[in-house]
Amino acid sequence: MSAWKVFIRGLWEEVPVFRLLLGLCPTLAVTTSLENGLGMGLATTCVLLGSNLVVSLLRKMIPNKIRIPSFIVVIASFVTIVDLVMHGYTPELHKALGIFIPLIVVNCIILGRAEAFASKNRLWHSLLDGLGMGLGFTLALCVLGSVREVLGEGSLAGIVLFPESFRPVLILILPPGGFIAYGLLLGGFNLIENNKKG
Amino acid sequence: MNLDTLLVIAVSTIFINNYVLSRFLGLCPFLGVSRSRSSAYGMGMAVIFVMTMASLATHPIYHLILVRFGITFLRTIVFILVIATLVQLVEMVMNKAAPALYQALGIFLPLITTNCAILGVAVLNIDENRTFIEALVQGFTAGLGFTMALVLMAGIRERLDLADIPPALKGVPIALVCAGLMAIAFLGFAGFSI
Amino acid sequence: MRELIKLSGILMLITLTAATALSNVYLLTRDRIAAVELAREENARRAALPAAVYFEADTLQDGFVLYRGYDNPQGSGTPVGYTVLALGKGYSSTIRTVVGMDAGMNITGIKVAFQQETPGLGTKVEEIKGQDKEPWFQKQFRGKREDQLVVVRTKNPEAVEAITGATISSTAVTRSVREAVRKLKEVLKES
Repeated sequence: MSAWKVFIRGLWEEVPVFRLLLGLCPTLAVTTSLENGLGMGLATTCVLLGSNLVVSLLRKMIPNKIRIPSFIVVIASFVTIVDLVMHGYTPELHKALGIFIPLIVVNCIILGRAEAFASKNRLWHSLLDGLGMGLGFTLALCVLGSVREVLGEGSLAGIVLFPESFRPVLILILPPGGFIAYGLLLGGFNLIENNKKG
Repeated sequence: MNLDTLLVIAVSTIFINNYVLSRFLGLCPFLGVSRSRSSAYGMGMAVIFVMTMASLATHPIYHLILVRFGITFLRTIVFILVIATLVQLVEMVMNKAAPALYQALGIFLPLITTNCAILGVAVLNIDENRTFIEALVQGFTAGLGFTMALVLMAGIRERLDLADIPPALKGVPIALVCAGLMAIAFLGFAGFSI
Repeated sequence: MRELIKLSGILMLITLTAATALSNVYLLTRDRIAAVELAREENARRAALPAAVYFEADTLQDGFVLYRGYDNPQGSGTPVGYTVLALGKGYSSTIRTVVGMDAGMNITGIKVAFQQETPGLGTKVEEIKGQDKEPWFQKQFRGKREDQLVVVRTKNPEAVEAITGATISSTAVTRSVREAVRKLKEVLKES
């Protein structure tokens, strides 16, 4: 497989949130605004890059039987690093994402890529895979975050878009709106796919 | 520490701050195992069990070991390892001691390690400064709330299978929209001040 | 048996390496994080009691912490006011509010230092409208008497106007501020 294909796959063909339905908890929980979605996406991308890097380097040294616990240790370490760095350098974002930063550990995308890709492939390809999947995840979070912020709050990235008379659909930034917005976006995604096939 | 506080924690964890419907924790099993009611019950029981055990184990580890030695930054890594080990242990013990129960719940156990609701309950117990007993109650009732949401969802999805739905929305998308409507109903509990 | 030892050995090695790496990152970021947290608290105190430039913590016997604010950086003379932390159980988090009072026991301002309420509803306790410099909800507290710290649903200069759709968060802040004010008065009367 060519390097380009490895990279681009995560962005459309196998975009984790819409295609593989992985990593749903952070997807719905933090996408109340574009900024939070972007922050969460980038934090996850960093962890994904780090874990793919280390797992790919160690793939010949880790015995098969203990690979899952080893991967979890590697992932948890990178999550802690991201957590500490964000706490020190982006305190507001760290506060907004709250409990979902330590929970990156159990985001199935990361363990999934370590197991399905990085543990079997060369370093270079594993890095590209991590970057592609991470950016695909970030993109999906940004789309969902933008939709919810524009319709639910009437602003984008904190900038007010509509005049005072616009009544935002408040429900969209509340938890139920997260489910509904994601469900409908997923439906739209399927529609595009079905049309392409048919 | 009195019974009132515990009751408040229980009611708010089950209804007001339901882990699935308002905290967005444990969504993967919520969508993955909600196709039939019987598997929903199985998964629910396994989650209640492991969540209670996880609260039981992580709370003292955090306060007696991590805090004492000033290594609280290792929280994430320690908790996830404790939970993974716990799940393995439960699986082994259950296999030996209660084969019938193992038959029923066994297939759900490996899935639980990556259920963020379990790690979530452990982390929230610390973040919200719960005492040991409160942590235990929170762990148990969080599992209860999860099971309730899961079983309700399974009931809805069994009916959805028979409904006429636009092809693009079939399966997960319509399930998500239903979950959204359920969450709206649960917003009604928010007005309770307890 | 030998395999078991080998496997545990490898796992142990990985965990040890991870722990070592993490401790280094922790040591590198520790001061920065502590500084961020301190600055957050200090800024909240400044916002609540703008007249003071220097604060001195005082922990009482029952664990109650009050800060004396001074108008000079040396902390000499009589304090211009006090700040205390008010904790209120909101909808989905414990809201931490810094309350500032001048020497005559009037509220000089409040500042929400931490909250994780529902985005779009409870988070409006920190909402800043238009050209304003500070959140409208928190601004209402300035100059209020203790008996005026009650939440009402309409605009009323004699009370605190609730945030639409977030009565729980509004009440939590107001109630905790009232508690804190009462406690501070009690403590200062004793000493």
